[in-house]
Amino acid sequence: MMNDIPINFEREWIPSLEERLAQDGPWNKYEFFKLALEAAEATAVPDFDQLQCLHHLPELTPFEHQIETAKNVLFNMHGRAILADEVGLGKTIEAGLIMKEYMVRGLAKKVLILVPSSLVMQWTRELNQKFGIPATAQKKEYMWKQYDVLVASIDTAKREPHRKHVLEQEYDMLIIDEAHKLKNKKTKNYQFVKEIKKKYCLLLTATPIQNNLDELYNLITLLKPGHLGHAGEFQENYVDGKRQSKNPLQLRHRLKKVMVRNSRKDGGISFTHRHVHTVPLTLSDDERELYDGVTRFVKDEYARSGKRGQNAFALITLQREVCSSRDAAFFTLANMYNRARAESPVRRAIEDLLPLLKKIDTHSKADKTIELINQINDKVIIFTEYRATQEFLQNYLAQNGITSVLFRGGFKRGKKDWMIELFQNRAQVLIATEAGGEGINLQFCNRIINYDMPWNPMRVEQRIGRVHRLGQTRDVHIYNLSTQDTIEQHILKLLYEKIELFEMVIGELDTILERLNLSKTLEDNLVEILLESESEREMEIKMDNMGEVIRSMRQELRKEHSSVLDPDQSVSLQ
Amino acid sequence: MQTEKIRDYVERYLTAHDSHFIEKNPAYFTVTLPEQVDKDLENRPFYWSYIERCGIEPTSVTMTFVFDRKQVPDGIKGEWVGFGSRRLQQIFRSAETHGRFVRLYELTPNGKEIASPFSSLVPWLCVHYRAQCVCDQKKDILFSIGINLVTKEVHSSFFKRISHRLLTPKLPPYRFTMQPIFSLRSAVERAEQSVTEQLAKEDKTWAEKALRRLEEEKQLLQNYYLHQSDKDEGDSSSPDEYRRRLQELQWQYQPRIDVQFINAGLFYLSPAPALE
Repeated sequence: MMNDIPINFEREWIPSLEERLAQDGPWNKYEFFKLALEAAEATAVPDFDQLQCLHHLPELTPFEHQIETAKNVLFNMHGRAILADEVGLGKTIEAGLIMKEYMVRGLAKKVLILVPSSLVMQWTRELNQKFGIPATAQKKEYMWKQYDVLVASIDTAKREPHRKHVLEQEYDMLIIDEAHKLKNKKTKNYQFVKEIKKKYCLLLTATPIQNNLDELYNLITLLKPGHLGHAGEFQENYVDGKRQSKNPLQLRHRLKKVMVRNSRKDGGISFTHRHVHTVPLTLSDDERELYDGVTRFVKDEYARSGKRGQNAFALITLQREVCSSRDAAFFTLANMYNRARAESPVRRAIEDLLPLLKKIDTHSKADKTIELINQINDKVIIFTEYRATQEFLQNYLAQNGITSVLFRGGFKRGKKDWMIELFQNRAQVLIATEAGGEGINLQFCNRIINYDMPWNPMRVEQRIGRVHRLGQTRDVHIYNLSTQDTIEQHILKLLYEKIELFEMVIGELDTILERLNLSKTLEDNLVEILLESESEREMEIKMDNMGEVIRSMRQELRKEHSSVLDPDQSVSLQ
Repeated sequence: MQTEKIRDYVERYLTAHDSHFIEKNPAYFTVTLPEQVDKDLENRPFYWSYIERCGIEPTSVTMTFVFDRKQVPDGIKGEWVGFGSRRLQQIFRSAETHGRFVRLYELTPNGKEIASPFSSLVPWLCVHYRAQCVCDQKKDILFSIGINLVTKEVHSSFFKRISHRLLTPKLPPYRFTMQPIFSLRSAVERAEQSVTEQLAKEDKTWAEKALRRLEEEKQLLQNYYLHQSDKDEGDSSSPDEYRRRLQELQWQYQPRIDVQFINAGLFYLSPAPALE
């Protein structure tokens, strides 16, 4: 039967040669004939199952688990797979390796990468810089047809007129990042991806199961319909209740053929330890007076404004700012003042606060920070939520002989890179207002000071993730400044002691929050608790409750995951 | 390809284009690109069409190519050319387009003229192919086939056997060539036949496995779509979808061999000693 492998010979060249014979030329130089042959020899793929792409990527040193994953997907899964590594293990690198291999082998030319719009530039940059793949960010309608490797936002692609163009193409390879967004097969995204013509396909997600096993089934059906049987068979064979698997062993076995999941606990992937330090500090008398004054102002304003949401958020921000720095609070108060009508009670209340602001000549938090920096005697990143604090700190550090550079989300890419370079080579401290996005390489630093704490735990995680990641060679130290007897202390207690945020696996929190399905964000819930509580005691109880809910959800999640996704851990978890 | 080999290759490429080297160093060199190289490597078609239309003297580009980044002296800034770099890919492609067809005559060394009828040069067609064995995976096999246009004798690994001979693009004085008996077309047919025969001897496990995978996947697919039609409310496009998925499977797994042309030449060679 094997003699019927079709063999196709290219023959377009024959007439050209005949013409040259007839017309006595033109002939190419002998040297070029040899060079052409040598080029063919150098680029020929010598075997089916050895990774070629690494020869083409002298700049890149992937981790062992990334190389193994690429091989597994290429040679065992045949190019259709779910890459489900835990966050931070480099799914992008794995996808890049696989893509590069197919391109080097001439098996993929037309490639589409669909990602959330916030990641389009980052993917484009990484493919170009790390993999030498000429990827372009999709911007114009004509590009779908004209460009071989396009990175596009899935939300753009699925809408007309783009949708029509995408569905007309035949993609050698389709890559979808954040693929857990495709878990529901009734959504437009899902239907759209299903209709795209594709040969190889990679789905990237750290959380292949968020709510129930059906989600996993849907993802796999996108890749290989029937791999887990038809819907009825799947229910019958594998599903026992919403989130329980009936035949976990068998299911795992089937999953292994379409999904790779590296976890941090696997051998060979070494993460350094993480040490969390709470650094308490006490306000001076003047600072305390201001804090109390602002607290009163916040409560009064909230009552006066009829407890409307918009205002509540601004007020709580003010209270948090006063824990961060006088400057930050002043900035917001000034804004409130300017926006209020003349003669309004707000203006009078703010005027009352002014003497308290003016009186302050100590900066207990900044002083504590300087003490800490001197004690650390190494590179440090300070995170703050507020620009006013950021600028104040830079001045204050300078006055104390500490060099620092600023980093903001709004900086252009070039400026960000430049600031990081300055930090690496010239300055001791980087003062940042945001985590800086992916691709920002800060592993040379292993100390973080949380000058004030975001209330969105995801942002705390992003901050830590900047330095505590693959490639970090030293233990990571996180210092949380905690101003005693303020909301800051309460929030820190909730995040740190109750939720145990700092001990979570990255990505875990995301899943927990999704599963909790809160009608409001965690942040909004916190705002509400703080403003609505009649007493300190009531607030503590409400926060405790919240922490408890998150804790138990986390336990439930870990149990499920170990049964389906992480077989090696089920034993140790008992 | 090793760094040294790449450097050597690029130097030969540029020399063959009569490029002017400004500075040569084992780790890098600086070179002024001639028009043809500029057109192939610099990617500025608009510039060239403008220059040509207006009849302006073009400004040539000077480039520094760096091969060994560790050995480059301070202050030398250049573009790295290494295996996998886009620049080298361009150079390979450019070399391929400029090295497709040659006609060459053997030159007897040291003026040893053999003035006898036997000294007539024999025409050979040499063809280079790249056979791409493709399923969801791929492997290349290169072929160098030589066909004697008088006797139709066939040699594989042809170029390796003759590349040490001295060859020149002009018929040397006092040499004659034999008239080919076989046409180009029939010679190519013979070459293709030879490639087909050699491919038949290759290990075919890869294709067998691919076909087996294809079958298995088709089964799963059939099972899935057979039961899906009545169950799933939202999916009205099931038959289309099934067809599409089948096509994708075929595309992914169906084993096939695509034989690509690399280059070809007409070589007029001394008959003796015979091709060893």
